[in-house]
Formats: sequence, C-alpha cells, structure tokens
Amino acid sequence: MDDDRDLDGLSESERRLADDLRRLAPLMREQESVEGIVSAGFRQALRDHLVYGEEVAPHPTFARALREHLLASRPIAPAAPLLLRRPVWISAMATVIAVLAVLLVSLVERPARPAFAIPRTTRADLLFNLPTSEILVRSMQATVSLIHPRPASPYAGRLSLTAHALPLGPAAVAAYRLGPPPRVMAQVHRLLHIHAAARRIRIDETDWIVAQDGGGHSGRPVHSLAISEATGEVIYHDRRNFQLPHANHPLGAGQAVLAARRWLTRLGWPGRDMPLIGISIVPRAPLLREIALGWRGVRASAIPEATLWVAPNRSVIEAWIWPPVASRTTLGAIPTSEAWDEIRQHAVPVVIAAIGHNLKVPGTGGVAHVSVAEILVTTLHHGAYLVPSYRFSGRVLLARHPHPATWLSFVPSTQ
Amino acid sequence: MPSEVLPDVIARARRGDRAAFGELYDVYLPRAYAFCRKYSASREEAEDLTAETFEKALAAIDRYEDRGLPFSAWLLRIAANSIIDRARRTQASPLRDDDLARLHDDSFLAEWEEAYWLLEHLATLPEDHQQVVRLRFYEDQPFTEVARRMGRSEGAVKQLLRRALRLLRGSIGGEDEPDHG
Repeated sequence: MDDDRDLDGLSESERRLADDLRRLAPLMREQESVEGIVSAGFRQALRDHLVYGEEVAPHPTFARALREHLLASRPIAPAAPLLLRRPVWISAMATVIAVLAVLLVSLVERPARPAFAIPRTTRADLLFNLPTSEILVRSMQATVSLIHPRPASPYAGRLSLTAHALPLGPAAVAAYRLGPPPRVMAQVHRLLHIHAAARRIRIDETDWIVAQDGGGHSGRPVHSLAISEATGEVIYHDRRNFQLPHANHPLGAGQAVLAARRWLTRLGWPGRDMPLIGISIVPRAPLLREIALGWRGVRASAIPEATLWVAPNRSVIEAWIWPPVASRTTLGAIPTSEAWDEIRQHAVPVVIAAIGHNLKVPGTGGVAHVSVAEILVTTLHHGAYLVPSYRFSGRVLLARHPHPATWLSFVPSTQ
Repeated sequence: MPSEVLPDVIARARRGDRAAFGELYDVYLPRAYAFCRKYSASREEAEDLTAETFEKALAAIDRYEDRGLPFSAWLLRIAANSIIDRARRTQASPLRDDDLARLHDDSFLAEWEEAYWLLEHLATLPEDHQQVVRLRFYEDQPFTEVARRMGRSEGAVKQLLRRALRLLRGSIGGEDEPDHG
C-alpha cells in the first residue's frame, strides 16, 4: 500500500489532517452508516419543551411511558366466574354505549376545537400563492428571492367564467402551523462560508436578519443569507458560481436532487425526507436545475417548502425556503359551490398564466379542474401557516387572442 | 478539541438563560441524536435517549465547568450514561459488551466527537473531493485503485486529494484545531 508521502506540497497541518482522517476513518464510517437525521417534529417539540417549558406536542419520553403503560404493563385483572362476569360485562357495555352516545352528540353539535387558530387569508396572501410572471431582476437584494421575486398580478379585464357539475369537496381539511425562524444564522460561517456579521434590517414592518458578503461597491459577487424574523422565510443568494465558464450542460436531475437534499440537511432541514415535487430548468438559465421539495406529510401546497437552483458543479446558488411544519389541525370545509361563488362575485383574485400585466380585454371560459392545496399565509407577529384552499383552474379565451390561456384562482376552503 | 459554541453562550446558559440553552441545543442536537441512534434499537428509542440527555444537561448546566473538557464531551458523557442506564433497565438491550466498554471510556467519546466534527466538515466539500477522501482514507485504497474507480489518472487523483485536504483544512480553519498533544 502506498502512502501519502508522495503527496508533495502539503503543509504540516494538512499532513496532520490526513493522519487524523486515517485514524478516525472507522468511526466516521460508523457514523455515516447511522440513520442520524433528526425528525423535524421531534427537534421542534423537544426544543420548545427545553426552552419554553411547554408541552407543545406530547413529550416523547412521556408519550412512550404512557404507551408502554397502556399497552404492555397494565395488570390484567383475574378472571371472575362466568355467572358473576355476565352482569359486569352488561354493565360495562352500557357504560361504553352511554359514553359513546355523549361523545357522538357533542361531535355532531359542535365541530372539534382546532389545535390553533388559523389567520385570516388576505387578497395579498392569495396572490402570493399564485404563479408570478417571469421577470428579470436587475439589482439583487438579500431579502428578495430570485425564485419568487414578487406576487402574481390579478387579471385586470372582465372574465365570464362558468362551472358545470362541481365536485362536492371534502368534509374536513388540514391546516398547518410552521415552526419559528430557523437557527441557521448562528452558524452561517461554518455552514455557508459567509464571513460578514449578521445584522438586523427592517423592510415593510418586517425584521430580517441578514449576513452578506460582496455586492454593492465591493466588486465581489453577492453571497448572502436572509431570514425573516416574522415568518421564518429564508432567502439565499450565491452569485460566485452563477457563471461557470467550462460548464456546457446542467447537472443530471438525480445528482441535482441529491445536492439539494444534502444542502438542506446540512442546514438542519429534513432534506432526505422532504417529498420531491418538481425538477425543471431555470427559465433563461439553461445550465441551472430548479429543485422543489415539499413539506413532509402535506399532500399538496401552492408553494414548496424549499426551492433551490443547483449549478453544474453541484453548488446551490439560490434558495428559497420556509420552516418545517410544527403542528397540524383539522377543520371543517365549505363545499366547492360556496367557494365558486367567491370567484363569481370577484371576491378573490384570478390570474391568467403567461400574459402581459396590462392586458384588460374581456374573456370567457370555464372550470376544468378543482383540487385542494395548502396556501402559505404569513402574519407579522405569529409566523406562517399552510391554509387549506380550493384551487380552481380552467381555460379562457380572451378577446383578440387566437389561443386559449390558463386561468387560476385560490379560495380558502375552511368554514 | 473542536469547539463550536462561544463560551459566552455556555456562560449565559449556566446562568439560567433558556434561549442560550436553545442555542446549545441547536448546535449539539444532531450529534447527540446520532450518538444515541448508534446505540439504540429504533428511532423512537434514540429520541427518548436524546430527550433524556438534554433534560439532564438542562438540569445540570449550572454545574458545568470548562476544565479543558469541551461542552460536547460533557454532553456525550450524559448521553453515554443514559444509554448505559437504559441498557441496565432493559432486558432486550441492543448493546454488546464491547459497546458498553466503549461507552464507559472518555477517550472513545472524545474520538467519536472528533470524528463527527470532521465528518460535518467533509460534507461541505464538493462531491468528487469527498469521494477521493472516502476512497483513500475510508476504504484505504491505493492511488492506482482510487484513480481506476474515479476514472482519472493517478496524478489527477493526487492533485484532487491535495485540493480536498486544503479545502477541508480551510473549512476547519475557523475553529480550534484538534489537540494532538
């Protein structure tokens, strides 16, 4: 076996590092083989328990002890003689039936109390969740994502939309509260190699913590991380690898997904477990892969939990991320016909994909598809939520336009 | 030994500042969990042991003194003791005798911590840099085999390993250098 002595040009500390790697390799191998990713729910619940002294979710140790007590270690009463057992059995059944009847009546009369109150969905929230038109960002700001630079614009013309035989919709829907802003900034140097100190800035009543190298008059490319203190939204820019002179092809899709998952995991997100919801090429940047990953356990959302642009050299050059889900609740849903009335009465905005912002010609069309998706609703002081909504879409023919276009609208689906 | 938390955070946590303890938790949770997971039969058991470790650490943080023993080693000692206690209480423990011997050994805990720290930094390198380090050091492959497996010349592989070591050294640079004394 050859050794590393012929690796000339190494400094003394690099040689010592090579020795350390060789000495610690068996342990590092062991550690890599351990399934060591902490689940986001556990991470958050234990943190809240330790820092705030609150039982936000059942504490794992307590939950385990309770489960063991209920399932395994509860002593079983000795069997009574048959003649004695029958009246006891009848009495027990009567009690169970009475309890069930009371429970049933209370459930029918009153919907289950939600685990948390969901905020009111505003017109701005609805527009934020609809697809925005492709625009060119000229000046880069740490707090503006290139992935989602601005909300969608509602269609300004008069639309006459019709619906036939709408589906009824579900009886109940799920809403989610997202966790607090992630604690990434404390380790920004170690995790992302951003050297500037973090500073607090206020934009439109929202406080952001920002660390940024380069940009401005420095002549160096922007490398920044910004975290909204209000909602936990995370925006990352790295222009250092934006243009790679020797790259001719985008990274393979599988490798790009792997790179995105690893990057997220390093920052503390459950990168390995987040469902993959989209792989595409970034518009106007054919060498960049866009990878979209959703929230675990959430069936469909208008906005992904994490959207990343991956360069051909596997580096993440742009990221837009939201905190993982902290808690879930179930709510009663309105029928789709009631939601459709909101669109007919122009109470909610409608957007038309891929058309100019100033178009105002009238159009006619119909509903082709209705589904349930979670939309992201943000608040100034109480974080961010995923609020269940009906997503209506269809085709519309605009005056003086030869080809039909696609229209979209969201209507909150909770009662 | 490596240190990733400023002493003032530990000092604030010792004075009862829960937010400071939260910062310690954020930094040390992944390694504490990975350590507990290594010596647990299931994810649920590892979560129990991790919760127990941090609860004990929170209860005892005011008594923690930095006498050359890093905070991470102190935390892993608590985790190791919790794992040993659990094994004593449970008849169907997944631990073997050599596992128990390791868990009693402070020098093993220090090495485990050092290896985890290196692994975290290794994960920050580009994919091919990680691969050359793994093939050369994990699998102990000669350069000729590393070159064959990576589809590169021996010279290119040596160059890549040099760059990987330099980058890794640079990544570690901001932190204390492991003590080899």
